[in-house]
Amino acid sequence: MTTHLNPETWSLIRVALHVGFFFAAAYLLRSIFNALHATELRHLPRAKWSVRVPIILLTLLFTGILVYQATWQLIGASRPQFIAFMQLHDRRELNPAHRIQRGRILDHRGEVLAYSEEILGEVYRLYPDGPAFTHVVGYSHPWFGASGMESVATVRLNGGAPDGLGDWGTLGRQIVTQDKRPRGQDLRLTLDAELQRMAFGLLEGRQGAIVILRPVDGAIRTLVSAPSYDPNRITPALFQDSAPGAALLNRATQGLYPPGSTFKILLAASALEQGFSGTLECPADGFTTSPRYRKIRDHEYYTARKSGSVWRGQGRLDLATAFARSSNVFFAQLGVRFGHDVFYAMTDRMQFNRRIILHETPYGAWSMRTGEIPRLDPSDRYGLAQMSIGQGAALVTPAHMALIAGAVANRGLAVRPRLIETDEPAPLAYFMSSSVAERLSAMLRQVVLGGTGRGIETPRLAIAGKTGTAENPHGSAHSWFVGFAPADRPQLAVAVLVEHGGYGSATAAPMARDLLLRAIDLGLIE
Amino acid sequence: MSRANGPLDIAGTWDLRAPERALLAWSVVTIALGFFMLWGSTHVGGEAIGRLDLLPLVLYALSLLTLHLMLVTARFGGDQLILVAVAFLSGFGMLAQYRMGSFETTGTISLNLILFPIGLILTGATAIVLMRGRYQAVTQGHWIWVWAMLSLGLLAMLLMFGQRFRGGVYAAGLSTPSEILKVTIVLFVAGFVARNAKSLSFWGHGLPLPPWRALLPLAGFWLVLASLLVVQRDLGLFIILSIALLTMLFVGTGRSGYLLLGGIGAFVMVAVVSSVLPHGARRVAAWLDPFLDPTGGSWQILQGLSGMFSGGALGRRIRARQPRIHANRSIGLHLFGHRRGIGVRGVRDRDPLLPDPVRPEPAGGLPGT
Repeated sequence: MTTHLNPETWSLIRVALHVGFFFAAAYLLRSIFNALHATELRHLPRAKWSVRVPIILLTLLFTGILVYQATWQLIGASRPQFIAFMQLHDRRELNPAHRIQRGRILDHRGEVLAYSEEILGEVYRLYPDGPAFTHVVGYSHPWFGASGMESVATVRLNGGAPDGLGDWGTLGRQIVTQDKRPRGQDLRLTLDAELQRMAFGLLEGRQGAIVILRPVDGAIRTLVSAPSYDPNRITPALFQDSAPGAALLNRATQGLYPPGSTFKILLAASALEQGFSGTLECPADGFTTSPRYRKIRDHEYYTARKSGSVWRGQGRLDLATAFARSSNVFFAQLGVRFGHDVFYAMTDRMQFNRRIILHETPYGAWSMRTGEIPRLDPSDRYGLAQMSIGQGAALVTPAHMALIAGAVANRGLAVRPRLIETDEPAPLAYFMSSSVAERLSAMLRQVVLGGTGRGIETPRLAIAGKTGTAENPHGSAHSWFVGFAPADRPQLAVAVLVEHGGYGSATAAPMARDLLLRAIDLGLIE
Repeated sequence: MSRANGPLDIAGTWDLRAPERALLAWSVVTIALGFFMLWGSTHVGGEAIGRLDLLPLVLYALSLLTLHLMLVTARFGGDQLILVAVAFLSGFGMLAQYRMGSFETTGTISLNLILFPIGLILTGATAIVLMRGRYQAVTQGHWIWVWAMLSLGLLAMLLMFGQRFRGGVYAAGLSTPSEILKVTIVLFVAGFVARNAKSLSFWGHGLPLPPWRALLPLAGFWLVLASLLVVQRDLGLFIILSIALLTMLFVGTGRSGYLLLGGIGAFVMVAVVSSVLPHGARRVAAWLDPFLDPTGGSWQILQGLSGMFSGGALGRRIRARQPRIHANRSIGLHLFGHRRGIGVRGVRDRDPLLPDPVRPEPAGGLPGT
């Protein structure tokens, strides 16, 4: 066939061929049935009862199945779950479900984070900011399915979750006109695009995570994990990378890290709940539960040893001073003094060893891990001492540390983090009593005023927080900062983790400060 | 159209088989219209139609003509509708296989295509060898029990030496030798029913109860067959064979009661299968609501429905089957992996929010600040 067939002419010919095909097939079948009597084997006995009725019933049943089957072709677009399945799991690019005008994904101000555009007859899903939002927004791709919000909220984005008369009207028109390309609904997230971009820029070239949320209603303003990947260019290599540096891993919600000294927030809360008001002797030589185990010491000891001088130790410290100085010797003793039961009561209350669902639909759940605290043998006092300073077996996600900081800022009440603007705020749990939260807030403020976080003190904003430097066997220490601002009327809680970033006061804390100051400019802190 | 005394010469057979010829011609015309639809869509879709694309239809028509001439030459006076039914149904098969690209090769003729004329000619040869009553030889004496034992033996061998893949049991190369049961079991049942037609049609006076004693050997055989097929997880084949059994019992004895009995048996079987076998229950659940387990038990159902949705009510995009490669050629391998159920699907599709967390090793009691 060298001549070109006009597509419009072809559509007419095609209908003619369809009609011809069905008539020819029907005529053939009729002829076969007409000829059936001639093939009867007359030596066989004849049935007493006619089988005409069962045959008619069977035919009707088959017809019913065929009609039902046809509904999937004709009004499949009105079945939101069907559309979602095809978009997620049918890699035939020709499937009309892939060309549906999906709704946009927006930040809380209405800035577009993902949208669909038709280019030369193909609909593409585009992400203007590339990798900065990927770990929240995810991707939607005809071959690779979908992830993140694109997956979890796929029914809504496809227009399958009508929430008003207008939406129902649109859906009805689509069914009547058999339009397989309905327009979906927009999805507004709680993220602040500006702040998110800045956070992503701060982590450029590093591995780490930043989470910023509103303590009062759980709205997540920033959730960044680095490295990330460009959702506009998904390649198979992305899925083959399972190394710890994999871009696919959401470090903010799934990465488990030793919390280092930021964990002392939990110990301090627990001690205040227990009514602790005394002092503990913190010798320069450190503390251990048995001569067989290496002593736990303060960082001043190592600094002095490195410079060849002698350090005299902290002496007797009260809780607030030890907290501001981040004394390992003090908190290791404190943890052992209260024992395993008090320690686990505190971690249970703060939702460790759980997965918190942020948004859930039949097509998946957007969730975060909290932390992992294994049950130690009651005789393992040294393990408890290590966990009390955020080392040893204690692991936590950056998102959970932000949640804990938010609970302190919100008078002890942790509000379930949320990413979708229209989701109602919901309380998660009281991580501590109001009075403890207030006292702890003051202690956190002191850390920035005169303790390990004093390097980020700024007259523009009263920041409260705790630095952390978490040793790990893979290289330099992880750098942490966890806190909130303004200290007296908290509006944002923050957790910054930089893998192998060194001292928390040197790397993570300045990032947190810069982000919080930017939040003032953006009107997120008033 | 069938005659007890066959025609004596070829000319007579030619006249006798005129209805078959006419119906075969209609079959060719119908299937040709189907091919025209496919060629047209392919052409409009921008793909070229080569000479090899015309071959399936040409071979189809030539095979039917050859088989018809074979039967005329052999002065075959038997059934004329079976060949027409086979031609019509296999024509649909040809269309589907052509549509799916089963006949596509690089410049040579596909082996899949050659199998069709070979199969038809073998069918004709078998019919000619067994005509004029010679077919009765295969059900005489103990022959019917040979077919029965062969069927069960084959299934037993398959279960002993086959490999289990996605629930089912397959022989080497994922082949299914149990397909041969569709012939051997039919031979056995046909022979059994023909031999015991009188006792099988005696349903007793008054209360019409089936002749249990006459049915006993058949029932015993069917029980063993059912057990083996259930272990093999081939419930579909069991249903097909059971329908064939009921049809032969009904046709051979003229007793509608067998159909009623079959209906009751089907209900009982569904009840037993759904309550005893989780496999069967899952199938029914997936059929009733495919969205309960979209990526598990309902995967095939939904993929099938999705495929039909893609084609549209009039098969508008019937030929546009190949995904367009945009950026990365290696994606083809990736897709291949997906289709084979390997690759990353398990990781990504099931948990869109992704992989296992990094779990840094906890450190010893070193300083933290």
